[in-house]
Formats: sequence, structure tokens, C-alpha cells
Amino acid sequence: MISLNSGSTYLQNQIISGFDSVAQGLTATTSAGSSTGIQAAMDSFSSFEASEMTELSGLGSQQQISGAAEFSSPTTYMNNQLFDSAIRADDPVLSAFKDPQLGAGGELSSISEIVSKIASQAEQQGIIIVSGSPTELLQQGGSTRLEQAGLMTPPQYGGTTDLEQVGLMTPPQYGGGFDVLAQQGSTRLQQVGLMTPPQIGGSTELELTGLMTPPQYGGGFDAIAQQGSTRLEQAGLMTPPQIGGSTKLEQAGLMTPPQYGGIDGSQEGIVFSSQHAATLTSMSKTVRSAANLFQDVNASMLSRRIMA
Amino acid sequence: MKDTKKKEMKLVERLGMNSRQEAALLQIGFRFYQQGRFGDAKNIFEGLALLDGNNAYVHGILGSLYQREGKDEAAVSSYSAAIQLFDKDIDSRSNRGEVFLKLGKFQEAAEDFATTIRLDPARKNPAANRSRLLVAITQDAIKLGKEKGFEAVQQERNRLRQSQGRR
Repeated sequence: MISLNSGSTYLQNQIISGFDSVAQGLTATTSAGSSTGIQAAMDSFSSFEASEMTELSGLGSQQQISGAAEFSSPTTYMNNQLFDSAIRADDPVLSAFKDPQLGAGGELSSISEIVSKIASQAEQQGIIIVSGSPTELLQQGGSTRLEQAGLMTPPQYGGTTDLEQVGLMTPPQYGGGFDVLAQQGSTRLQQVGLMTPPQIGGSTELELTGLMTPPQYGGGFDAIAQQGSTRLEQAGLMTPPQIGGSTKLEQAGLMTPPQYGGIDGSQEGIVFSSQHAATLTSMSKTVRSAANLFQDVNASMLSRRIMA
Repeated sequence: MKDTKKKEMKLVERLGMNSRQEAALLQIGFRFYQQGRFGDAKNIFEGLALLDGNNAYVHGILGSLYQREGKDEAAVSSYSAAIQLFDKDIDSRSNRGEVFLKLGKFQEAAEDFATTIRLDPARKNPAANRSRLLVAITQDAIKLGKEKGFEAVQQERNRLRQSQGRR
């Protein structure tokens, strides 16, 4: 066995942590009294030549650790070859990271500025998620790609839809747009038997065929605006309506982000989840506190210089 | 053939940050990491991964942070992202191999170790040397398990831990 009697403490710790990883792997794959894990490990590791390891660390036949080789561990992540390669390839960020002059140009001292830039520009560009479910957005003046493509008129009282115009839906008897379902109008869908006449608590063929769960109150498509959920939500195509929610439709580019407080058309593509927004906020806080510390250190050094 | 694929603008560019400012953020994160302030380092690097998802170093160091926390799946995912961006990434590959080893995914571990060893013929890269050491230790453990049974491996693990505690 590998001996811990020689070698530095650092190297011994490397061996102990390494053996721990191996033992955990064998435990994960070996049940009591079975040699499954050991056999699997043997199959995978038999192709390595012994000399590769023994020559490296001077293990020799006794596996004595006495070599002077330098070892890394996940806690000493440096990745020099990545930096070397990046610098050769003139990667601007990683090259700047290794630049001993970084900071001299004021980058480090202007970290507060960077942070406020992230915060303010993120807000300006609508990275912060806004309130409103898709239905609410429609009701509050949002527009959809469907509208833009001429498939739907903006929701409004008395409006008509292209669906009506192409004969798929009869004009609402009163009220407008998709409200027809909630009102007393009838649709071709009803007429061809796809939908039962709208009524409080009514059900639709869509519900009957399992495409939509019955609304918990209200009827038909109002389910989205109420507390009901749809199969679309259940299938992961739409997030449940909630403050700050976004939809897969938005993410897939089928619906424009909300027009108020949100991301306008020019910034489409940076729709952030609330988790991402939280990540950026955490980063901003950490950087800001680092910047304050940096300023404190500078001030302290300055005052010491003055005192001297 | 003309490449018509539109280059996606990174968020860091949309925010108007330049390369040196991004590098400064990277350096702060790395300082935290070196000082053992891993929570702060994670905040920075997770933010950086959002700002610039094409930075292999950011993913690699995030993998290392997750590995420390025992978040094995997240670690593998981050290391894999780093390797995808820079396939000669010895550090990420060696570390990912160790996570695979811990999970009992011996074939994947062996492949990662073999690649790192091949990428470092001069035997000077510390991460590749870690791979070599892990291979040696694994072979030792296999030998012990084969000769004396799986329990003997566990006993040896306990013995090593105790010897570490005595020092």
C-alpha cells in the first residue's frame, strides 16, 4: 500500500483525499459481499501503465511517496494552460486578468462603478422581471406576435378577431375578442361541436379531450386569468400566471415581453428568470462590499502614510 | 459558404462593460477563492457565468466551487462546460475525473485521467499529476479489495483518516 511515512504533509493530504474519493466510488457501486464495484474499477483502470505513476512520484515497488512532483487539487484551481492558451489567442478578458497592470488603469478602484452599471443598466434594459401574467398583459395593452402577425386584434371591448373574419368564429353578440367565450356569444367551434356553449361553469371539448383542465371558476379560456391551470402549464409550455412570471412563449419568441416595465422589442433575447436576476443581485452585493473594503484599505494606507 | 448565423451578443457587452472591467471582476472572484471565501467567490463567478457564458475559466472555477460543496452533478456540469469551450483544459478534466471516481463512474473517470496524462507528457502539470496520483491510488485500492475484500478498502480509508487526525 501507499505509505504515509514519507513525503510532505501536503502530499499525504493529497493521498488521503484521493483514497477517500476512490473508497466513496467503490461504496457507491459495491453492495455488501459483492465485488461489482471493484471489478468495474479494475476493468477501467487496468490499462494504465504502472510506470506512469511510479516514475512520477518515486513510488517504486514499495509505493513509497517521496517524489517532489507538484500536485493540484480542486481547491487550488489555477488552470495555467488555459491562461497560456488564452493569452496566445489574444483573449481580451483572460489576457487582462494576467496583466500585472490590471488595476493601474483604475479598473479595480472603479468596481463600484461597474456594480452600479450592472444595476442601473440591468434595470434600464428590463432585466428585472416585471409583473403580469400573459392574460393580464393582453388586457393591459401588451401585444403578442399573434397580433403583430395579424392573427389577433388587440383585446378590447367590441373588437373582432381575424378568426372571426375568416369564419372560424362568429362575431360576439356583445363584448369582444376572446371574451366571447365568457359572454353569451357562440362560435363556429361550438357549432361544429368542439365547444359547449359558454356558460358559467361550462366545460369545453378541450377540457373533455384533456387539453385543458376545467376552470376553477369562470369558464373557458378565462381559466388562464383565473386560478385554473392549463395542460400547457402542466406540459411546461407556459409558466403559471404569477407576478413576475414569464412564459415559454416569450422565451420562444412567440410573444413579446410586456411593454411596461419589461423588455421592449429591441432587447428581446435577454429575458431573465427570477433566479438569474437573484444571481446578478448577489454578485452586485458581493462586489459592492469588496469595493468598499478596497476603499477602506486604500484610505487606511493613505492615512498611515500621512501619519508617517 | 457564408456563415449567416448571427453572433449572439453577450450580456456583458449589452451592459457596456469592457474586457478589462470583466477581467477585474474575474480577479476579485479569484482573490476570494484564494482567500478561502468560497461563498463570495461563488457569488462572483455565478454572476460572471451569466454575464459571459463563453468563459471557460469561469465554468472551471465554478466546477471547483461546487465540488468543494459536494454538489457533484453541478460540478460535473460546470467542468463539462469548461471542457467544451477549451478541450485541452487539464484542470477541469482532472477534477471532473475525480468527481466521476467518487460517484463510482470508473469508466468516465479513467477516460478523463487518461486524457489529462496524455496532454501532459512532460509530467509537469499539477492537475495531470493529481490524475496520475489518483490512478495509482485507485489501482492500490483495487488490489487491496481484490485480495482482502471490499471491507479492507474501508478499513484502509478509516486508517488514513485517523492518521490524518493524529497529525
